[in-house]
Amino acid sequence: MTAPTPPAIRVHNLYRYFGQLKAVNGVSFEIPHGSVCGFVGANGAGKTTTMRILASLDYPTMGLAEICGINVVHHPEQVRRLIGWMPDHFGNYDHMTVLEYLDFYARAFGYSGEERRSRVQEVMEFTDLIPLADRFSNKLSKGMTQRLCLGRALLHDPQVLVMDEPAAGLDPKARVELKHLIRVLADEGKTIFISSHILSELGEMCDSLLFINAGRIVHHGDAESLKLGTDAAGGMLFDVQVVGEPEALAEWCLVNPHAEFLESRKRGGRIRVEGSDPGKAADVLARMIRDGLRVVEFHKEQRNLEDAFIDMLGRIDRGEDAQPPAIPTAPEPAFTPPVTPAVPTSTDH
Amino acid sequence: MSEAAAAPDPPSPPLVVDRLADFSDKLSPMLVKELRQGLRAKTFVIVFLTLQGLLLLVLLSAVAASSQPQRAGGAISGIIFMFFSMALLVIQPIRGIGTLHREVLGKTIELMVLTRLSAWKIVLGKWVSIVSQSALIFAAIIPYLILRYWFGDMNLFGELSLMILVFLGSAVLTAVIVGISCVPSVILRGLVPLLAGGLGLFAIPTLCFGREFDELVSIASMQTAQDFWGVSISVLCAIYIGWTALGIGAGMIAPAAENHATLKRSITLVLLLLLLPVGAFSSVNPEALAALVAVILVPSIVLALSEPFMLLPPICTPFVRRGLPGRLAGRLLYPGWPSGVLFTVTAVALATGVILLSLDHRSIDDEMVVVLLGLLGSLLMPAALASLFEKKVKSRFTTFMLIFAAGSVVAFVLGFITDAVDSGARGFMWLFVWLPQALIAMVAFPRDFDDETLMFAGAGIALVYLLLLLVVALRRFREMPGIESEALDLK
Repeated sequence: MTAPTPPAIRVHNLYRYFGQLKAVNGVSFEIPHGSVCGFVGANGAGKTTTMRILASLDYPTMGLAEICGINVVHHPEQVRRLIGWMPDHFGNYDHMTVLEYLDFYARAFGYSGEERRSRVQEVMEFTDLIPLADRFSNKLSKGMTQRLCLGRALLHDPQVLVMDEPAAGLDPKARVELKHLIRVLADEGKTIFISSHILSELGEMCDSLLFINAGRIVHHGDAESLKLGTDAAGGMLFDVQVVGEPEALAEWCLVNPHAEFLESRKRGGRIRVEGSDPGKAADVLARMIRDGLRVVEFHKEQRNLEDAFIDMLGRIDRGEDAQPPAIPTAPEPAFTPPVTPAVPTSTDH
Repeated sequence: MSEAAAAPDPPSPPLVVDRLADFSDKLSPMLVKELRQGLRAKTFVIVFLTLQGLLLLVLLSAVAASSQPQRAGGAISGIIFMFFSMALLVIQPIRGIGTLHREVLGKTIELMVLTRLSAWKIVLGKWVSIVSQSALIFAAIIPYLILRYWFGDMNLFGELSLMILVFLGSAVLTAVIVGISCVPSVILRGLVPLLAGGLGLFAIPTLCFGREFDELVSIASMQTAQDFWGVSISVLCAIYIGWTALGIGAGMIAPAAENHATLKRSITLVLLLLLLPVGAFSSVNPEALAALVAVILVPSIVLALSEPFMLLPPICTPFVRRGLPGRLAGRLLYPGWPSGVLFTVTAVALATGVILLSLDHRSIDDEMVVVLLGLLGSLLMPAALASLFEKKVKSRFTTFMLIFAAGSVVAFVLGFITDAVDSGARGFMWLFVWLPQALIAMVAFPRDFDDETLMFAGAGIALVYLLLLLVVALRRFREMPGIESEALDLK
């Protein structure tokens, strides 16, 4: 019997402390080969730290991180051949064209001769960088820069692509282009682990979503399961429009415990009604009218990923259980580094 | 067959990558990158063209104005060397300031680390690029030196040899500046270029004219055995210092899974072992031997005591596979300052052996011993302080160097004060004897401070700092067995 193929990414009981700060606090998850997984969390939730550990750029305080079954701490050289890393920043080089930039990295990845030239050509064609070949790399727009960054990450044809906030700061056109490129890469069978703040886009692109909060995974599943998972606890959402002062709706919600005012809109607002029973919604509407609110519109809204995420964070804040992580976390420290961990590529020596 | 099929295929449009033929595949990727960037940099182009213009102007003026070509020849040599030395010893090395720090700040170093480039290749590429541009300037100067020959009264071999030595000095200075260019502290990064640049601007014009220049040319022509050995050993020491300096940079940018300590420490120990028979069987001057030992030892001790302790299982694997001897060697050669303390003890013991063996033939100056002990203590003190406050120290190397620099400045000022006060009042210096550099300053006043007492004081202070370091280091040694047993489990 052959051993099962290890997942593309496996993280088990991963911890990373920076002094007293628990940046990653017992994270566990698995991502199968050929899937696109979105990594979602607020700033400082631990996304970048987790991704940097997977890219072998940082070391866990404790725990296991593997790429295609290879431990990132024990065999960083092997892991680096398997992953393409696209950080949330782009290091500019003065006096270097786009073509020279990619050529440098192709050489650095060990390509030579015809192979090097064909890799650079392929990547430039894929990322549509040929018209920009002679432009200096530090004179590109954000969208062009991201394409160049993606091109660099793809030069050695990695199996796993780790992308930290690739869509941040991009204009809508560049965002659509990037989304298209990611989809093409996924169709080619690459495993993509991508973090972003734009949940709606991740929902469209990703096969699964990982939500991280305060260094812990709070949800792992597809977008639909997230929406469904929060429906029961999150209640029903309604867009309510009234004639007259829109503030009247917010004031009415304050004295009616079954309806929660979520946000103001031009002629009213968005409210949440507890539970999933339509009868309750009808009762709320009836009570509004009885109390003198002149309601002209009352319709149920589809819950989006942002709602689901905020609901989930709200439940965590209130001390209610969020969905448990997909992978059980038994205490099994696989690596215990020295007390003072260090970022490997900084000069913090 | 149709006519269309018989027609030759239209030539395919040229690919954009066809333009990538400017550098061979055999060159290091880092060198190619740095050359592409560097040759477009304004500094190099300006230095190169200005130097050409100035030298051409000087030569043409000399040819036109001089009625006594032989007298003009000496002045032309001086001018050529002045411009050449300024360009190579001041401007070119200064271009290395921040070269690695920029990569660290821009986080491009991370992108490079993820490729197959090792930290050494990255640092070496940066250095070679600046040095190869210096070589271009060197090559462009040679025709002027040959034209200078026309004026007569010239030691062609000596001047060419001196030019090569200046080029080598430039390469070493560049290595030092590139090596420390990744240090986070801008004070530390700027200190060496500032000192070297200031000294260069002051010393170069003085040395390029008159008797000093003739003496330098005479030494560079290596006509006596003493000159030959002096130049040869200086060149070897310069290469060693340059290599060590580049090692600082490589060690600092390298991921913790790369071991940069073992090779450096092993080479130092081997060099010291090789010097043992030299001390025992040759009649080398003990002071000269002690100076050579110091040149070998000081950079190694600085590196060994200033490395952060971040030991990962893959680093231990080659050691633990060799059983107990491997583990014991690891206590000396693992990266990080705790093993660096044991390495320092071993290296100092070997160095002492070399010096003691040479004393069979001749005696050593007591002042030299005090200076050596003061030097050793001044390296141990910053390490001891950095270890005591380890949790608060962000960058051990920076802290180490800043404490060392501050101690040296204080000792320098104390020396000035001592010189200014009456002989009877100089005893206040004993209050600062905990600062090992102060001992070196006290040696300058032999009437006030007895050499033997200073020797005892120096040895005692060095020992106190060493014991302090050993106590803290041994505590960290307890962490090693756990990491070693995990290393054994690695495939």
